[in-house]
Amino acid sequence: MGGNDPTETKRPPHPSSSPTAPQIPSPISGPSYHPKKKKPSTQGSGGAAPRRRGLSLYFVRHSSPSDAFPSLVDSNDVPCRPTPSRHTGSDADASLPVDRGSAVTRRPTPSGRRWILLLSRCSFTKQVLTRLSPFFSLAPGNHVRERVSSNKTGAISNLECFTLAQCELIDELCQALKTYIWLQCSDGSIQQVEEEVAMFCPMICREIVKNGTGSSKNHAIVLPERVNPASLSLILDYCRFHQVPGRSNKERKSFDEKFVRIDYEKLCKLASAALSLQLRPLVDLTCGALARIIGGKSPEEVRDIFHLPDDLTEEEKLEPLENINDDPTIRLLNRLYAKKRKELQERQRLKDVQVQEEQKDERSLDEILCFINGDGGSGGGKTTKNKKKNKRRKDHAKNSAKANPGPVNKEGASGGNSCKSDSGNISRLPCQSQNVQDDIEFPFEDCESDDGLDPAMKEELDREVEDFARRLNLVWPERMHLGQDRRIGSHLW
Amino acid sequence: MGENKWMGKRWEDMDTDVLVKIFKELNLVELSPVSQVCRLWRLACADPLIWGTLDFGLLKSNFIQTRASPYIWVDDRSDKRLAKILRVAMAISRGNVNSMIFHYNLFMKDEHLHFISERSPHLKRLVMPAWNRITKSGICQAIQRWQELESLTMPTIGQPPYILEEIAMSCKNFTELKIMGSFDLPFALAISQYLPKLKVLSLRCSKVTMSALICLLTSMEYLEILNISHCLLLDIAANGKRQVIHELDDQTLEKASRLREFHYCQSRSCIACQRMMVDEGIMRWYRYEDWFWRQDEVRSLDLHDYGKLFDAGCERLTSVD
Repeated sequence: MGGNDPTETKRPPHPSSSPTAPQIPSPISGPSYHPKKKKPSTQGSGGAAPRRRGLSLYFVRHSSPSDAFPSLVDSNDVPCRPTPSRHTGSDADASLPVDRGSAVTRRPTPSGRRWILLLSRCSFTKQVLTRLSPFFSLAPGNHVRERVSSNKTGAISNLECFTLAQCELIDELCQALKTYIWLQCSDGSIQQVEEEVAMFCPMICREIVKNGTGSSKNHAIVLPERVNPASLSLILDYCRFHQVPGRSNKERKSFDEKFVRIDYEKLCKLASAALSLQLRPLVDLTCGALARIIGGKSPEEVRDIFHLPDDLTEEEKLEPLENINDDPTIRLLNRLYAKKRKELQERQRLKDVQVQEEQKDERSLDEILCFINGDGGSGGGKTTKNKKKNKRRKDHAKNSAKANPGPVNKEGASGGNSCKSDSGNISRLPCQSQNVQDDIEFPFEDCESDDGLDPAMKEELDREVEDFARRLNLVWPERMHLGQDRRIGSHLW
Repeated sequence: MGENKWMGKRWEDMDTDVLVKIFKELNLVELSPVSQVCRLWRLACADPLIWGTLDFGLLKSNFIQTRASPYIWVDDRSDKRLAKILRVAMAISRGNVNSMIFHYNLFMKDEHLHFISERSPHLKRLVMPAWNRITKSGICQAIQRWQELESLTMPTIGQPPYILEEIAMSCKNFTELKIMGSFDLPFALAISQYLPKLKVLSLRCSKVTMSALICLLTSMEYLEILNISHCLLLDIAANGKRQVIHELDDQTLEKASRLREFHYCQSRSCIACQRMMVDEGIMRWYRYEDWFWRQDEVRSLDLHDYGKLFDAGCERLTSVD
């Protein structure tokens, strides 16, 4: 037994006030050892493990300024609760009581206090071994013997350890000594997660610190509804990896790359969950990955990948959102095609109106006459009604009618075919487009600016514009709806 | 996105947040097909978070200098390219652009200006250092449409009063002006007359006459920040002789002390000042680093990196070569 140095007989400090918090390397799931980590020591008193046959656990306080390393010493003689009075951290060489041939000696370092973990006689699982490998080099066979000599930083010295009989015991001990945070998902399921892992996430951290929730099952932290269990487990994996300070950038980067190789739906949900938890690095990672997926794909491909509805109307698709590398000829063809389609729509609409009218033959002569007049300009009537709209939306009409390229080439091709037959009707358009090249690109509804058009041409243009506007009014209600959908929408031309 | 109150939002709203975050990583060319996918995506594409600052700092015109007015000739393809890019940008952004930045070698015409002023009515900041091909009426009309304009970076023009008058009439929130070129007394007088409430003025790397400087310091009551770093200060004596002033006298410094921020060069040894001397007062930006013209000692005027919307990749994809 070590000498009873009076200075070393102090009881272990209260867990919450311990300056250097020891970290028990958890064999299975916890974070790996990081010596410099300071956190409220929850395992200061340490005596959580029950005495079991064949193995007793004992904590030894050891003097060292930096390293925190909880220690368990196999000893039948030693009670479970740490009694430092028996085992001192004195500078003098103190050999600990051991039995059954497991000899443990330790030479404490000069200053500070820390916990040392000594394991003896347990069959190490691979995980346990990796956790402890920084401190123990593995000898072949079941026995793990190691002499760790002291160095300047105060590493544990002269440590020997042996395989333990029950590593579940250690695990239990570690688990009992750790703090867990309780989290509740959107679907109501509650799970617990190690504190340091959970603290990596700012939102959870804030909840713990400010509101004090999460410490027990009944007071679990309720996560935002976008966080489903699958996303949560991914997020926790991420946190668990990254909250370890000892990793190199290369390691983190390669982990990140592998991390985002999941299917798109999961990635979307993960991004969503990360955003609601305000976990900035993960948000950047997932959104960057999704952006790389989306960028460069055509709309159909994107729709397929993300199972999105094709809910833009044809006319909306033809809005001036051309492919930026578009060929002017194809653009022109698309324009003509669009115009042709609108004509067809208009004709259809008129047909419908006519069908309606035929049912009203009981009306008086006056009404019929009115109707006929109205019908001849039912488009016109609409014009007067919607003149304001027309005037206001003239530029848009002009814009979408004239600068109306479609992004998809195949539309242009088929449009070309259907337009050929109609070329007489709209042959005007091409030469107009030549003269008012600028006009097509940049509509000139303000006549005061010198746009180089003579009045006759302008008149034609105006007529053309009104025509288009009338036709576009067919789909005007839809566009209005689009505008009211979102707060941004009010900026539609 | 700190405004997330995760308790009460609808699913669609949340979804859009994520979409906007994703789209922020894409450039103009990539956003174009994205806005064709579906309605929700089109709306998300137009989000102000993406389009807040539209930085065309990498977009330049293919031009040569000529002897006759406007002294610049730009080839047609370059104009068309600009037109296309602006069209796409304005279409996707749907008027949510708050700040537009153009390169000093981007010579746009009235039509382009007209186009963007129509489609970004809520523009708050414009950086356009090249007005060679813009007419008076063109710029005036554009200013009339930009009623929310707060900050303008412009080159020195022949008769500045008309534009200042236009700004005074249309832009009630105008507080910040940056002049690139030269600054003389008539200009200063015009500013004090038409923009008396101006708060921030930067003349960085310009040729400034002392009389103009004194005028600014005495008559602009609301001026808070003045930047004359790396300026070539000239004193024009009664006989017309020009003399470079290397140090500000105490009187000037005292007048300037009431300003919240007064940036000036105490020594002529900084690199920018040396460049000014070499270039004889008219800074030839093309000789120096890409970012040099974008810097400013005034934080609100300093332009940072180019952003994602028109990045190098986008510039390559849209080039007409």
